[in-house]
Amino acid sequence: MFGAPSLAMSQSAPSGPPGECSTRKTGLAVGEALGVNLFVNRLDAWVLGEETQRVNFESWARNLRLGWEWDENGFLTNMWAHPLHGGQYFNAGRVNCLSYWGSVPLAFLGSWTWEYFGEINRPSLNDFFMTSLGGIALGEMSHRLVATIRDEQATGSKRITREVLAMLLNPVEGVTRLFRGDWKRVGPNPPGHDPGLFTVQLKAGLRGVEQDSTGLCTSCPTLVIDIGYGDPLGVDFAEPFDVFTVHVQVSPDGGGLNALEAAGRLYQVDLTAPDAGRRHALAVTQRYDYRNFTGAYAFGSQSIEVGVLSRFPLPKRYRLDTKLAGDLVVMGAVDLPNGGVGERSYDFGPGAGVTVEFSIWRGTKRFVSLRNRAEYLHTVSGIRADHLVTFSEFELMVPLGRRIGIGASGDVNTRTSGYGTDPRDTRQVTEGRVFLTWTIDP
Amino acid sequence: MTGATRLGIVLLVAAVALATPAAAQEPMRSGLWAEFGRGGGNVHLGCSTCLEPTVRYGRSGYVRVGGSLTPRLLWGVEFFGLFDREFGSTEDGTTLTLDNAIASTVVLWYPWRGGIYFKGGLGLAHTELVAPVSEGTPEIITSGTGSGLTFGIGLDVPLSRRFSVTANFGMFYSAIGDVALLESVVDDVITTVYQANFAITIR
Repeated sequence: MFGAPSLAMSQSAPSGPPGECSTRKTGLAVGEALGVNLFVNRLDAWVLGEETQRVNFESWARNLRLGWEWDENGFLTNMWAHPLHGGQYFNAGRVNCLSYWGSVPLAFLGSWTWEYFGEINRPSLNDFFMTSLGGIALGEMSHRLVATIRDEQATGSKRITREVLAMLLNPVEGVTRLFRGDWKRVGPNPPGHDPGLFTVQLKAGLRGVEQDSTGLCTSCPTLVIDIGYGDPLGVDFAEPFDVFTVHVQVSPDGGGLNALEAAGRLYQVDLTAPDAGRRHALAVTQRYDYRNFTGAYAFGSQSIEVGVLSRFPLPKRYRLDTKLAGDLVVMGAVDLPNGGVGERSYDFGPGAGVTVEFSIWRGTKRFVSLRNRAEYLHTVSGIRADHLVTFSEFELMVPLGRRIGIGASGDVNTRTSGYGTDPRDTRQVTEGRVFLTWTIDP
Repeated sequence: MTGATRLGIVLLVAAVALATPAAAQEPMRSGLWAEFGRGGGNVHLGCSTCLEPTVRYGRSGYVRVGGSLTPRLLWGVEFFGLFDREFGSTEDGTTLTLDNAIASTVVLWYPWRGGIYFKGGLGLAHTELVAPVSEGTPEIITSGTGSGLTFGIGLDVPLSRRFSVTANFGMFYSAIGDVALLESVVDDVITTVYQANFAITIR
């Protein structure tokens, strides 16, 4: 969970889900998930005139008979837009009081029905993977984030502003609440409104990117957002995603969205006593990764990670946090240099990887972090190949005050691909950043 | 009557006979558990250039072992296989048989008090195709390994606190990529298995 703030204080997780729910409405949740499909399909067909959305019984029968294929959509569409879409299916369950696990089937149901019945194209298996799994991860995080934005005790324009902002991040919840009359209902905030350990850190600065000794970008502006929700060794496990991190990087002249990495705790077992000096825990984490450094490399994956988290006290109230983890990449994507079909210039495949992390903290501030990660991908759609992608990342932060600081970070990313008997293709991308930081502690 | 059919009938009869007294018993969903199932189903083999999928029928079986996160949420590892060797059919003079196996991490979710559960799982898939070129010519064996995905729905009928019989239906998707078959390469192969099983669960 590199790049995201964490906090040292030990406290109990907020009780109950972030949204206050009294009655589980499973039927309504299923209806809303399928309603998302109906709405998007009719919007595309009637308003946007998309021919691929003009479905009929014949297209349904053909899709059921022919089954899955791989589509040719672009990297951003498949690896980012589809997971966002999947989050709407998932949150149709969350907004109707279903638990995380209760909402998981909705993500798969919504995606499956869209693939078979929402378009005349053959159902796309990569879409099914990305929409469902990515939708669960991004959906649960947005569900928790908007609970911190909404304020059930506010009224007037302040209330509406917060509700609108929350709806932009989580449309299906916002619309459901609007129709339910929740936008005007005043009452106590649910526990998820104030989750306790929750920090947003903005890092604005400049970056330089170099690929194989060729400069791609020098002194280009970049913005990094790190969100930390909970502390894996400070909050007892209560429910999935009660601890998660989000790392976003946006560079206006560097391809837009460069990175969106999210990791949420699914389950955790403490290996030491809560009051032990040295803490260890075995954690299962769901990961979503999107990296698209246009002109350099693209990598994305949906994975499940199992690892040991450790915390060691250091002198003067400093501490060392470490993580050693292995992961199974259920479906990943890596760019295909000088190749591809249609909009698609990348391949899909499963894989596995390892991560090693070290970071030094004092209180709620992280000073140094180092992460090494290696992922192996085996192509199952595209040119048959085996890929090894590695990320080595270093960050140094110096606080100048409670909220302000300066920092520098650097990444060395390599990718080695073997295409049959051809010589291995190896590329290396190096990026350096300097930035100012602003920490928000809502 | 095949062994799987006989097993299914025996389990079904046992479940019906014992379900009433067992209904009063709360099934124990804590600690470790293991499940053994047999059944049958079909497999659809498709690819990016296939005009129509190839469909075969075969026997299936699985072993599932795991632990209990909560009484309504179980976690486990599942090993599933579908084998159509016994059911290999001939089309256009070529016999094509297919074996499909998936090893996955699964989650079983019991949303209600009863024994109905939903299953979802992710893992690795392996598919093997066997096609003799002609009579007397050695079989060509090709295989692929890739991503596996499974979903299912089932019903547990407790016989006691420690034993249940289970009927379930599952879908298994295997994305194994390109496979070399005869003198050509079949692009981006995906297999879809639909299967029904009867099983015994020990807790």
